[in-house]
Amino acid sequence: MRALAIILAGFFLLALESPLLHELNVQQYAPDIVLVMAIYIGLTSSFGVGLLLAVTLGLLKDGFAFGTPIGMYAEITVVATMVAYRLSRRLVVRGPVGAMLVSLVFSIGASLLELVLSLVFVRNFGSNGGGAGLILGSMIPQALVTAPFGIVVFWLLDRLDALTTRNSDSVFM
Amino acid sequence: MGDFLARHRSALFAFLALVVPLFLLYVHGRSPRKTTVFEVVLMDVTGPVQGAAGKVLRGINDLWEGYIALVDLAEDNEKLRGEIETLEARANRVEQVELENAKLRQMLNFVKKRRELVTAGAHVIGKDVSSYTRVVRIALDIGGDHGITEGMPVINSHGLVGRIHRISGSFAEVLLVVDARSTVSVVVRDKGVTGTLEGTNSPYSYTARMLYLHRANPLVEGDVLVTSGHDKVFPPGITVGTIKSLQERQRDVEYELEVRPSVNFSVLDTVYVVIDVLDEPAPPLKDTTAAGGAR
Repeated sequence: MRALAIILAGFFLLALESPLLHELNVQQYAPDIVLVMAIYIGLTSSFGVGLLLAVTLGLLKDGFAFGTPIGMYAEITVVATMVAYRLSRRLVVRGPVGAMLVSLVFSIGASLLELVLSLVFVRNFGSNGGGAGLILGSMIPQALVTAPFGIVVFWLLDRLDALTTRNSDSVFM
Repeated sequence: MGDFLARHRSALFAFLALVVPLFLLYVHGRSPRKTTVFEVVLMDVTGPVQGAAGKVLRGINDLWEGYIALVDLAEDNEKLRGEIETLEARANRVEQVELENAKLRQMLNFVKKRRELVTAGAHVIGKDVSSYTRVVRIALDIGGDHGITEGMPVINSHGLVGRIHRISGSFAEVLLVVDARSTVSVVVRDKGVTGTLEGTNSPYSYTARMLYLHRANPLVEGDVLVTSGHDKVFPPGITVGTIKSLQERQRDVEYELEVRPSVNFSVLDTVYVVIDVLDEPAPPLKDTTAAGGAR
């Protein structure tokens, strides 16, 4: 029930993201919502369920983001979930600032991972301008845009958890 | 065996979760121009939801601009101000209709001029959400079920938009001319200088570059580039852009120039997919609604 709710929430947010940014004419500032969801999942879920959710959400993001080959975001989401799961034993994320900081750091890591995966797996990557320079140039702005969404997505998933599991043990607050 | 699996279940999960996306990435990164079954399935899953979300947001936007904002103001300003706002709303609607009329007239004129082109109209339902690639691809609400195939040119009344890159039954994805993977054979109108237009993927502006070998005539800023038809993909004579800067750079044996596309990709909402090019143009249109298209 919880897993299904998270997938549906991710699907809904991704579906709204593109047309909403289009309506507001701010396409260049797309936050990485799925990455923030992956962090939350890693911090709160069991290992197996977390990975399953990460693969599903990553593939959904791949479906919505036409610009990158399929598998790119699925891989990044899985790695983010695994790292967050490992950190969950040593790191306690509390409050909006914590959510923002974690989202910021993970977003930078995700950009670097995307760069590495693109260099290794994507044929003709950056052969005509853009490429590595574009990813590196967008890394910090992308992290700064994603960070505030850490608060929103953590809060949303916290509420979703409370609804589906009746568990009041919040990660966010 | 069962005991082994039970003991190493977490490691197996982790291995599969890492390897399956890597395999997909390997397959799709190696041959990005081919549409795979997996991509079609993903497009079929995400396309309808994205289309519906776009419609809902447009509806909310229209409702807000056309009604709710005015009601809020009317509550603040009683009867007279309410009347003014009602008139303003009506004026806005008229203005919107005029704008829409102008856009439709422009499209109709374009279709009338190019009667040899058999086109299908389509709405843009989504744009790439990946911030690293900017808006270099768009999704349309027509696909294989409407006779659309990969490689078909996509145009609007301002000129060339791009080409169909991937398709599913009801949806298609367009590779824009500003994408670094896009190449178009072009000719400078009235100058006869031919070359190839390539996208730049610039994060700051929609620009492309023209590569050419030899200048038969001197070029000037503002010279118009049209498709030459030499690539057998794009029909000849479609406006592609104008020369933005004459600062030539030599690349290998070619020269390159910066080009400003004629289409503003940020405000695209309706486009035409060129399904076929007739040898003999269709007869002139009598009814203004029958715009030579399949849809």
